[in-house]
Amino acid sequence: MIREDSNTDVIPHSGSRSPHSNEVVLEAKDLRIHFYTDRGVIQAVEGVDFSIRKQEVWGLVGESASGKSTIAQSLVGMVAKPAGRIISGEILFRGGDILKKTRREVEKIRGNKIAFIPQDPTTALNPLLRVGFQIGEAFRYHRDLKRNRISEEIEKVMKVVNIPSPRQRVNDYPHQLSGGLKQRVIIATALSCQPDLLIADEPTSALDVTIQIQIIKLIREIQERFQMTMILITHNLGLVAKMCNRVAVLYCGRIVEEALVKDLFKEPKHPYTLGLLASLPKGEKGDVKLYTIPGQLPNPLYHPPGCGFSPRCPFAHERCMEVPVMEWISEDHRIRCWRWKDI
Amino acid sequence: MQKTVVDLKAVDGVSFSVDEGETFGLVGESGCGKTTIGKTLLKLYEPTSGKMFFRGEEITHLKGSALGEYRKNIQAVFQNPYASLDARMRIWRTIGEPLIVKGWSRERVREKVGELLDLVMLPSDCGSRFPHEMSAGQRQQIAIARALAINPKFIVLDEPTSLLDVSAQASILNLIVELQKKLGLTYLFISHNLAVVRFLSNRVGVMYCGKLVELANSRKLYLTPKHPYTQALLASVPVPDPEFKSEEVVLEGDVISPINPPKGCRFYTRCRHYMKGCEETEPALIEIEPNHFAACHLFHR
Repeated sequence: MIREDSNTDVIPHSGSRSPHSNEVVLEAKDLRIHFYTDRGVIQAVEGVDFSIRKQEVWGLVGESASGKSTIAQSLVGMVAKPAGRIISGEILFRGGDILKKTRREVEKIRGNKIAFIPQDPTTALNPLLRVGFQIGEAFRYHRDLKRNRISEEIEKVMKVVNIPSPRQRVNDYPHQLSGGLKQRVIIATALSCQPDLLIADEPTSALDVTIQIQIIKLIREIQERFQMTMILITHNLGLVAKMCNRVAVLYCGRIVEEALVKDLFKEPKHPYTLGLLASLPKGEKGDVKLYTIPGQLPNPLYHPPGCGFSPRCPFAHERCMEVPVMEWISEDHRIRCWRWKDI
Repeated sequence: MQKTVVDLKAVDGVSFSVDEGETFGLVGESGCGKTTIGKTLLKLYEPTSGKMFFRGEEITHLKGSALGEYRKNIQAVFQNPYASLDARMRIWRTIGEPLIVKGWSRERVREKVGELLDLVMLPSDCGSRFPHEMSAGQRQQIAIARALAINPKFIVLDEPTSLLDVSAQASILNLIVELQKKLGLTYLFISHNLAVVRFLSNRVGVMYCGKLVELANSRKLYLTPKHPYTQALLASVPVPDPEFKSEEVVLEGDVISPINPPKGCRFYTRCRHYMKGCEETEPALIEIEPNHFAACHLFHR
């Protein structure tokens, strides 16, 4: 549990920031995760590959049941057992495969090297424990620090996330804090061990807009200051536009398109991405009719054969009964569609 | 209209009118009182003080059969279609329940339900199914069909799309617009999603902590917001366009508690235009431009 390097300061020196380098922090290969339920097998993740580059914010967007949270859980060894089974794949992080590690080894990484910000701050905090204690948990578990040093560190990390008067707040219980402050506590918990990779799963979906913008700003500042690598999982395309460098679009457990954010919004190629962007409400009353993607999201128990989007796709033809191969169409842009050239 | 529970003023001195055939949008953050207004209009809550009129007739204290008559005119669609539909009832019964109550025969009810399903663009064979067989978007279509069963004039839509995915949301929004055109309905549309409210509403009221702080037609409100809160609210929404650069107005702090609010403006603690006196006197909602109302001391000269 003792970290070798003596740098336990939570505030590292901010160096010159490059947008993101090509050094890969985490790589997932052919990830497949199924859930075995009474009603059948849910193929939540069906062959997902991606790599996260150092210091970038990588967005993962998709509608409900697309598999985005399952992917996040697999990165920290939290796929619900016994229903959830990892069928195949590798997750390479710091020279090892997370999926091959024992529970103890994964526990050393979770909260330490890879940290997690969950969606709902109210359910993520234990209502019976003081927030200071909860922020300090990672320190106690992962670092061998003296007690008084721990409280110093807790106070420091609370300052990083702009919790006013941290010395009084450490003794508060979660119910004494507002939603925004609770989310700051969660972020402090995640940051406490200076993770190499921060996974944020819908970090602002449970918050009001004016609080949401505070948290977005905070996460962005922290990411820049600590030059942190981040995975942002969300269904909110506005949030992706504001925060991410690159983004992957997930449908039915497969990445259907991945590109730099500016390219994805300007020139979406996959029919699903096109539909998603076109169905966002815009303009005044009576201006336009919104585009709607025909059909419904498929039942997770019965994913359509071949391309998962084909039953709803206006461009589908016979070949779409086969699963399309992922194709690179430019350096940072890849797409899984047989017909992207015709669209 | 005013409603008091203990000493929490959920809605405090709000006045507005909704014209026949229009959509009136109410936006605000959680706890601002927008749902309370909707429920009070539905007569699910009794207002503490104030008056409500429907087509010129006072409805504030309706009881008994008069209340029943009023409720034939007003229906609601709620936020969560997983909670608002009875899981054990087949869909035709859920939709037809108001008609069964009215004493319609089974055949007539089933016929009418078929028409309603058609109207909300659901396949007519889904009447015999159960809610768990339907997706969230379809459930919301069912809730809308049920609201339409007795031909109401006025529908309160309380966050009908906030639990839906983007693609389902788009089809529900289109449906809501189309039904209004077809049936000449009047809507009160309650939401925290500013883009959705803009898309649907003719006029919009912005609420903060139980008060109506701004009221204008939708185009004016979104293009030239006057109240500092509305300005901040609009600037806070992340725009789905990476090249869109906006001034970021980040409001510090949290919404104040509606229990024992300050006697002056309720927004002064977070307002960037705070002036001396804001905490002392409450700004009235005044017309600062034709049909554009705001409650702020900035305009009180």
